[in-house]
Amino acid sequence: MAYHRLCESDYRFLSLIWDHEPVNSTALVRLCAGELGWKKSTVYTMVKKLAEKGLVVSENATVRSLVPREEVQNRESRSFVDQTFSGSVPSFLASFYGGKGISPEEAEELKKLIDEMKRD
Amino acid sequence: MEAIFLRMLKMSLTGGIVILAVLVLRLLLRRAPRKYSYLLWAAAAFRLLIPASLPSPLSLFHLLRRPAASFDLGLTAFSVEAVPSAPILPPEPVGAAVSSQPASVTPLAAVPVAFPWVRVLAWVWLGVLAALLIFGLVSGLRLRRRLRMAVRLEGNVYRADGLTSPFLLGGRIYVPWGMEGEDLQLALAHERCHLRRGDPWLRLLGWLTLCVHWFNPLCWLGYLLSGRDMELSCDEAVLVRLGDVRREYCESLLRIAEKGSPLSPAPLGFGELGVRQRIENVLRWKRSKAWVSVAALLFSLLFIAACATDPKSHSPQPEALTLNPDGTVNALRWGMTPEESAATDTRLSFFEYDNNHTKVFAKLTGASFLGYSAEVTLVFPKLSVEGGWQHHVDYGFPVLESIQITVPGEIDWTEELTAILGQREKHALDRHTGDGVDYVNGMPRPRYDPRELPEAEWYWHSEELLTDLVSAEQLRLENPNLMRDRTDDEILVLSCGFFGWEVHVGTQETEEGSVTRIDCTGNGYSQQRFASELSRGSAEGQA
Repeated sequence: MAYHRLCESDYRFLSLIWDHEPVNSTALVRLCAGELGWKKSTVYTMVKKLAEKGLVVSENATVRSLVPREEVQNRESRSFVDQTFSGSVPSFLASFYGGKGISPEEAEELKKLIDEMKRD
Repeated sequence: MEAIFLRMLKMSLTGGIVILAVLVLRLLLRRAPRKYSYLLWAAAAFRLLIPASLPSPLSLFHLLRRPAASFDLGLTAFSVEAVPSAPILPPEPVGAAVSSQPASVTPLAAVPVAFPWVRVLAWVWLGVLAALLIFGLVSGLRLRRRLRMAVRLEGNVYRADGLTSPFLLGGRIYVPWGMEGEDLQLALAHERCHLRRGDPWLRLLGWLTLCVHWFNPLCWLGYLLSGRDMELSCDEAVLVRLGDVRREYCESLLRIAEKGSPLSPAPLGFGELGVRQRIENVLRWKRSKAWVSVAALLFSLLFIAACATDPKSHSPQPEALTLNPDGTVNALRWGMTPEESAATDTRLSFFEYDNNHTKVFAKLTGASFLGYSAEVTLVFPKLSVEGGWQHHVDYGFPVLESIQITVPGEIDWTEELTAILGQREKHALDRHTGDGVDYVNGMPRPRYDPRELPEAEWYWHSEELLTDLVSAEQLRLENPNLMRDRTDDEILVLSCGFFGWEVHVGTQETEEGSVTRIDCTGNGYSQQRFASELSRGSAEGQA
């Protein structure tokens, strides 16, 4: 089974193509706006990106896929983007809900704290 | 430019004090809902960003006995004064030829003109400010670009790759793939609370404030702690909205935290709370009684009013002025004790006549009265001054007040020359440049180097005065101040009761021997007189 480096967004986009291919680019833009909430420029960028990866092809304003769905559907063949956002976001700009991670020991401690609460 | 910088420094100082007060108060509000602590920061932001304020009896700054707006940092804002290093005249008679120049005459050598460090600092400040703003802007734009391909989940909630926990940007909530069910709902509730309160805007405002006050460590602390208050108060708001879901909430937080590895490159600080603090805060939460909320709210509002207002009693305009013989001014203002008044370093300098030679523009400088100037009228022969004070605040809101300035004693201009020269009545009134002449041990110490000065304009009172000056046998050059002028003549600066006289005394060799030449200049007049002899009272002892 071929291994493709795809993130979820890529996968969702490809799904749309599989569902509607061969799809006219204008129609694709409309679809993406509706299903994914993407702008036109984003769609074109995505097409270009996947074309470079050899997953789709765009000719005569028509887009179709180059790999079958079955090949990619298995989640294990998808890698997640390993560079997380946390490191690249200057934290003064956006506050993270989760905060920084915790060690297993700390997690245990906190679990206990929460359990103690239940008894009140 | 420097004016803006200095005003900003004052605001930073005031703001810093308010931040300290907020820190104290947050301790007191520890057990109250966090939103009140969060609210307090508004006072700090106000002080840091708004240069003016209203007076009110509540003001915190009554405690400091100074108006917040008039904190003076001891920087003379606009003028850089040249201070001579050694003005003291040695007791040598003038009239010596070049060969017998008294070796110990200390001319104004290299006059240390104060390095324009205020200006340099101002530009450094601006540079860092600009760099920070650009950095923030670029970071924000890059982030948005990366999130372009986030897939909409519902409304303004989007799924994005690469996240381990949700966050807000640009009115959208971004959540990681794989976050479902309860975790998702609680996280969304939290983020929606932020949106509802307008937290992203407040945070942006905070960031901008921080950029302006980047040098102030208290501001960084304030930013950090206000971020914490923001987050914790949002957690509490979720509980208020959804009911007592503390347990579920904490478990959810824990799950999300466990997903992120402990080594994840999350930068410390700036609002990123450790999960522990949040869980502990949530576990401690209980729906507060109405009276606690009301009390905390009132308390917070009072506190904000106290921090954000200026002391009401402050009336910056001088209410009475006494012009001292040595040129200093004692100014009294409301709330000042006479001792304090005596301790002010206020100077009154006069310059500029109008065409009638009766109006003089006076400037009152000193730490207590930064920026005051007045138009005063001199009425001869009695030197009394009437006029209005205008307060030129840096940002240009003038306030007019009437005030009477009276000068003790009477001066008969036409007759009391000797008296004046003998400096029985010393009014150090200066030249056009407006620098003050102050006295050290009874000796005038001008604060300028004539070599540096542009052409001064002088005004005569009357020509007779000059004649009198020269012919008065009792021309005693007591307490003169010796400097060297452009031509290397010695200049005696006489501080007399006149405005703007400069008397150059130089030696000239003639067939009869050396004579002392007196040049008096002013307003296009230049007269020379020769006197065969000038006795210098300074020969005996101190000059």
